[in-house]
Amino acid sequence: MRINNSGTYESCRWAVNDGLTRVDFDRNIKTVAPQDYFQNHMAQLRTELLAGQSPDMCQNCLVMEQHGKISGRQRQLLKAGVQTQWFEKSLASSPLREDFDYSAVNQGQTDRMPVDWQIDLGNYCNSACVFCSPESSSRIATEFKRLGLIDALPPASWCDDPELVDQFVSTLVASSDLHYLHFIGGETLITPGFKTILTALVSAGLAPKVTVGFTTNLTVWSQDIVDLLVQFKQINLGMSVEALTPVNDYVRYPGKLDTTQHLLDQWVKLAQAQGWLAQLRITPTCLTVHELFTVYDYAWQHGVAIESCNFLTEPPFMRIGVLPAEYRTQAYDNLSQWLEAHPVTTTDQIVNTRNPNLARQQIHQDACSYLDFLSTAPDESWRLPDLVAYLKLLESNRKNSVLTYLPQYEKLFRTHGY
Amino acid sequence: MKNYSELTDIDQSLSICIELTPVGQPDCWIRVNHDLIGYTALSEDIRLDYQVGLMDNIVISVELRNKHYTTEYETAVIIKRLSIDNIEIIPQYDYLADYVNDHDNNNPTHYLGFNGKWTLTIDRPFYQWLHQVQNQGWLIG
Repeated sequence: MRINNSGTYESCRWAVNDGLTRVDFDRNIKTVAPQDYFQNHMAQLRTELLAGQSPDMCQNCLVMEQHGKISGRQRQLLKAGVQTQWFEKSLASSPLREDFDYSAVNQGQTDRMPVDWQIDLGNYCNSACVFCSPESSSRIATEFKRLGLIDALPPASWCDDPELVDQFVSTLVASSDLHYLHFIGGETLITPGFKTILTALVSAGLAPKVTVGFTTNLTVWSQDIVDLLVQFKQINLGMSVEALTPVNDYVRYPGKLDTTQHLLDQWVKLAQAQGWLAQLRITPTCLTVHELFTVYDYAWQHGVAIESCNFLTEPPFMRIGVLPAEYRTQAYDNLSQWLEAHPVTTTDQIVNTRNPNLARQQIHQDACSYLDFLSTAPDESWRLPDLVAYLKLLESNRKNSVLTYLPQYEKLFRTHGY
Repeated sequence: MKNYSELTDIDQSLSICIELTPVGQPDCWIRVNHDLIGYTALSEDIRLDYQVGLMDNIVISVELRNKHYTTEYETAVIIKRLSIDNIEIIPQYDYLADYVNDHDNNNPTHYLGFNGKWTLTIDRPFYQWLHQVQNQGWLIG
């Protein structure tokens, strides 16, 4: 279950999303208790799933699976003991079988509490990645407003309200099977709500039984947060990076590659010392896919897994399919050559992407999904003028140029309005 | 299966298949959940099939008996393959079996050369056990 920036609940963290924060006071922490939403409001969705339907919100996962990428659907099923290659019998054997039966005869309701949350902390962020949106970055929100792309800044986050945070933490404390909390920013390390909630969980004595996941943008270090994190049962550490080349600075503006690399090494070292699970989090776009192999290479060398939640859909003009065939082929060849130089012994599909013993196989699997996507994604090169117009607009404020970082795209961009 | 209500109609059994190869003529007893499904002085490869319930715990044992070490030095039985629901378990997971024998040699193996009993214990529903041994992460509930 997810609570988004506005405090509105969402059933699934991987659900199809238009990039905008939904504000719905019929299912918001200000009006509905988390357990009420989970147990009763989600009954309709459970009923649809039990009836074998495929709701529209599930389409992202289905696309990922078509390209051999492990979807959120597969990973969540796995937590219930359901493996898609043995779907029927593993479902019948699930430790949650009685709960499924209960929902089946009670119109989709459940008497369980959530065990796994995604907690959106708001958009407080010091980065303004070119593919990001005002909902996820306060810095880009300010820039968008200045450039006239939005009229108003997004509303304050629900976790800026201490009463709501207390209410939410009380729900977590009352969740006897609580297992996993995944925090999303903004940049988590500089978001006050992150520290507030971690501190409350530690004070409530929950830390030894809860795994915390979060992602950092590799621009800052917070020893205060590290001191809190080490008290939790386990940490799933995500580190956002698009390429270990200067283009990362352009895309993850205003990053500096030296700092990124230094903090990446520092976090990986800490994770290894603490036994944390470290993952590189990538958001491949048409601007970075040709240098994606540099991230896979770092991950391979350090035994760190790679995770990208889905194939980027927003903004549409940054999709990988925007690259014309000639440029896509170059990216394909780069990745293909890297894969050939880094073979793995098994090609069995890895659904538990957080198994550290299979990090290299998982890296290989993820890279293969992008290889497949590069060769099969629909041609959207007609969006190139939109991409160029958008970059020019950002650059008018940032006083930089994409061609400094991607000189090989000069001909392409010049012919589309750059 | 198109919807959850059809789950009650699926096959609720698991097929167990054990393939054994003899070395010499071993006296060999094979049990599944205390049922003796084969005992013989093996002289050639055999395949044994057995069915258990989907939610049953499963204990599979292969016992070598009456080997005379002085005259039958090479006598043994090899568990060539053990599958459950067509999923290969042995040799891949032979380190999960207990091997208790008169030479106190407990190294993981599917080559049984000593008088004694090799036992694979699946102490929960098979697919939950498989989830664990495949290191598929935490299970809710």
